[in-house]
Amino acid sequence: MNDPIKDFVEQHREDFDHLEAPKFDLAGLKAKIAQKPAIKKHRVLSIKPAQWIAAAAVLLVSAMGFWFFNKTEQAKSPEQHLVINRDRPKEGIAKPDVKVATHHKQDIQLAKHQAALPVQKNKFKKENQPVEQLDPMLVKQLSDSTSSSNRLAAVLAIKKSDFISYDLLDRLSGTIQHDSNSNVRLAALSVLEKYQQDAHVSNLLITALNHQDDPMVQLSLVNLLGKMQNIKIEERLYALVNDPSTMEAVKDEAYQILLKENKF
Amino acid sequence: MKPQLILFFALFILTLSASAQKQYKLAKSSGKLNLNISGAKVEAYDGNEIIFSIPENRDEEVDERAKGLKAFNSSGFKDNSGLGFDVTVKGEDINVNPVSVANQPKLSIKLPRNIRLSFINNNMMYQDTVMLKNLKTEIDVSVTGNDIVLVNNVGPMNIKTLHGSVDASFSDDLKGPISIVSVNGHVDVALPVAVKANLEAMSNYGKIYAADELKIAVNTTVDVKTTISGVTSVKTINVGKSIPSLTIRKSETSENEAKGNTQVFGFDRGNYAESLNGKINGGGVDLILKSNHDNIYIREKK
Repeated sequence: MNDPIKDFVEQHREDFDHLEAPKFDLAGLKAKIAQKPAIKKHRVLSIKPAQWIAAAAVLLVSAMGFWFFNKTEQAKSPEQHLVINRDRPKEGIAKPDVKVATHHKQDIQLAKHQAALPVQKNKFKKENQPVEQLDPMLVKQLSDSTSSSNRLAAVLAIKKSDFISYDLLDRLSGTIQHDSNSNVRLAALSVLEKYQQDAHVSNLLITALNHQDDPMVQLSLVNLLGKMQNIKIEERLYALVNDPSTMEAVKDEAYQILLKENKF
Repeated sequence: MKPQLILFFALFILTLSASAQKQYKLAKSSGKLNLNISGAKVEAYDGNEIIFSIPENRDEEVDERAKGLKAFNSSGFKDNSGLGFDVTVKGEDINVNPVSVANQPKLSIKLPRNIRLSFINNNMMYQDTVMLKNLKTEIDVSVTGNDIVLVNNVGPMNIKTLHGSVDASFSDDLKGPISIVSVNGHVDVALPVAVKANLEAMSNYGKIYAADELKIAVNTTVDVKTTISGVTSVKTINVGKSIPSLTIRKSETSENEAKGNTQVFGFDRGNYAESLNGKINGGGVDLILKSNHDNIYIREKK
């Protein structure tokens, strides 16, 4: 095959070969080799401290983070989780009050100290809670099928005590769905309402609405869930308004929520 | 005519109507009476038998062919009391069911003191007033449309009516918990001044009226009125003298709702809800009153 470039290179080979290979310079090479590690060493040394500092900082931060979360995790045994959740808004509320009410530094410190008191009180409560178990009789009473008033009394006692656990909330959710008496169901609902900020509780409430057959409780549930944020109940509300057996008042309430959300 | 004469005649007629009664007696002094009928008047008395009675003032034709037979219905209830009701004792329970749902005579019952009462009527059409008087045991009423009148009962009681109203007048020695709820009817309670109670009243679209004399110590909304030390302040509100006198606080709207959510059609739902939580005479019996669409009246018993 005729290759014009190859031919051209063959013809002008001398023109290409005008460059001479440089002489081998051992001294220069040695000098270079001697120089390079020096530079490298210098670089490594200059970089390493920064890296160490960064690494130490990361380690410190992660260690502190771990320690902090670990500590809160410890406090979050299932029975106390809710109590912690409830405490947070209180702190949030107390602080702005302090800022508005006082001007002098000392006053602020004093006020902060005072504001911190209820939180400490709660801490104390938290520590005490495992001891301060709910009366087991109360749980028994809650499932007393012979007397609705007994069950109502148990629910009200739970409502009044500051003690709550997920187990108890689940039981109450069962009461809302299955109790034979509407008054008891409503009272149980009012307990869950108290803890509505909790994600688990809001799930329980939605489940309760999905299985609710008592119009009175339906009404209260729709009303409550309608006021809560970030809750997806539209499907269920459509189902309710399209069900001919649903009571008118419940439909009205459901329509109102759908209207408010502009979903109808 | 002289008033004495009028009174005499009135009493005479009263005794006549009282004597013209069909009665059925059941010897039982404990247990639970379950009424699944359209309406009734129940009164407690010191005795050992339950006395069912219906007025015998209508001149109904006696079916000669039915002599010696009993009326039955599809649920298997038979007229074993002779009053048109099936009365069956099952252990502790005494069940009363109508044989003919549509033609129920007005039943009056005299109940021994220790028998508990449960009244259930889920029928949408046949509803009559339920009147309960002087009962000292647990009362459980769950109805769709009956109006309920409670006179001088001790409790505890659970009362629910969807469309009916509840009028109650309580005795001094009240026992809790008492829960009265209605969707469309009013709830009107009269409390003795000396009663000790934890009151919890709520109405979504109605109002709450309370009497001045009861001196309700209202628990104001916790999130707003929390003092710096975290203690909820309790105020005693003395309300104006004018007739039904006070409306208390708006229902607690969540913080999110307050700042988010623009109003739709010029109103924000939820703000209509009225609720009143408080203690009467330092607290005691739990008293829950609720009406979704009508008013709640809390007055002094006179």
